[in-house]
Amino acid sequence: MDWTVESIPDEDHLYRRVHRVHMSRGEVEPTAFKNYPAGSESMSVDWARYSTPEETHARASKPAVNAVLRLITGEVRALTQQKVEHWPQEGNRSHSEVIGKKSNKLRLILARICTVVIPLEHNPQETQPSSR
Amino acid sequence: MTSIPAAADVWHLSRPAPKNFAYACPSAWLPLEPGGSYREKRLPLMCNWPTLMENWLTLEGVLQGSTSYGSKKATLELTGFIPMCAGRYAPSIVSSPLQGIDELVESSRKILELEQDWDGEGASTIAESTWRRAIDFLRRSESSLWNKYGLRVESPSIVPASDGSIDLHWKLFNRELLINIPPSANEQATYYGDNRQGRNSVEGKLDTNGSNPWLFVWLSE
Repeated sequence: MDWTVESIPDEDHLYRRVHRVHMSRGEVEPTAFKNYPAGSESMSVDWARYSTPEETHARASKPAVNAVLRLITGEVRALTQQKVEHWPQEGNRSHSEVIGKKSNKLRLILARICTVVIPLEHNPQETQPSSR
Repeated sequence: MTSIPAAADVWHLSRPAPKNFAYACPSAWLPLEPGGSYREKRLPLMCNWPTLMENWLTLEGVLQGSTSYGSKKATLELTGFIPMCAGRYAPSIVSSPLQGIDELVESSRKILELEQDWDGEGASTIAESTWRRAIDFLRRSESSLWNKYGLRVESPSIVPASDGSIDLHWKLFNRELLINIPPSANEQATYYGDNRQGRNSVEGKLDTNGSNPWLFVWLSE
C-alpha cells in the first residue's frame, strides 16, 4: 500500500530501536545514532503518529535485545540541524528518517536529548559487549 | 639566572619554600615566595583547577631539571596534593598507569564475537585490526599520560558501531569525550568533547599511532 508522505510537526515524538550493545548502565551510547547503511546520510526512526513504542519494539528482529528511545522532532531539528522526513514503507507507515551527517558532536547531542521509553529486558545470561 | 631548587626542598610540602623557588617558578604560575610555606600560606590560592593544572605542568618542567632527590617522586608528591585540593572529580593518582586497562581490554574483546548483522539491521562485524588500534591507542595514551603527568582518567566505554567502527566514550562529571576509530587504517580517528553543556569544546582528527596526551589532560581537567 502506498502511504501519503506527510510533514512531521516539531512537537511530535519519534521512536528509535537501540540494540543492547549501545546501552550502558541504562543510558544510551552515542553509538546508537550512526547513519545506516554505512556511507548513507540518514538513520531510521518511527513517527509516533503511526506507531507506539511497543510497535517499534516489536518490529525488531530480536525485540529482547532492543530498547526503544524517544526523541522530540523539534529538538532534533533545532539542536542538530538535521532534517526529519516521513518516508513511509510497505508495512510501516510510521517509518521516517533523520537526515544529515552524524558527526561525533551530533551523536553526543542526540544521546543527551533522547529518553528511553522501553528499557532492555533484564537477562542475566547475556552480557553487554559495551564496557566501561 | 637563578638556579633551579633541589627537588628534595620542593618535595616536602610543609617545608618553607627554597629561597630562590619563586624565581624558578614565576609567580603568575605558582604563587610562592621565598620563605613561604606551601601548605599553610599558599594552598588556598591554588585551589582553582585550571590554575592548578597550569602550576602542575610547570612544576613538572622545573623538577625535570633537578636530580638531587628523584624528580619523579617529588613530582608525584606535589601533583598528588593538587588533584586532592581540586575536589573529588579531579584525576586520580594510582599505583599503575595501566591498572584497569587490562580488564577493559579483556571485556571489550567480546565485540570481536559479534556476527554479521548482529543488530538485526545489517551491522558489520568488528575487525580485530580495528579493535587493536583502539586498544593500542588507549594503552599508549594512558601510559603517556602517566609517564608525563602522573595522571590517569577513568576507562571509557568501548562500543561497536554498525559500520564496523569503534567508539571510545568517556562520560565524566564535567567532561564528555567521544573518539571514533574507523574500520579503515587509512582513515584518521575523529573526536569531539565538551563540558557536557556544549561549551569548552574540542573537535578534530587524531592519529591513533600517537598518544595525544594533551587530549587526556583536557579530559581530566
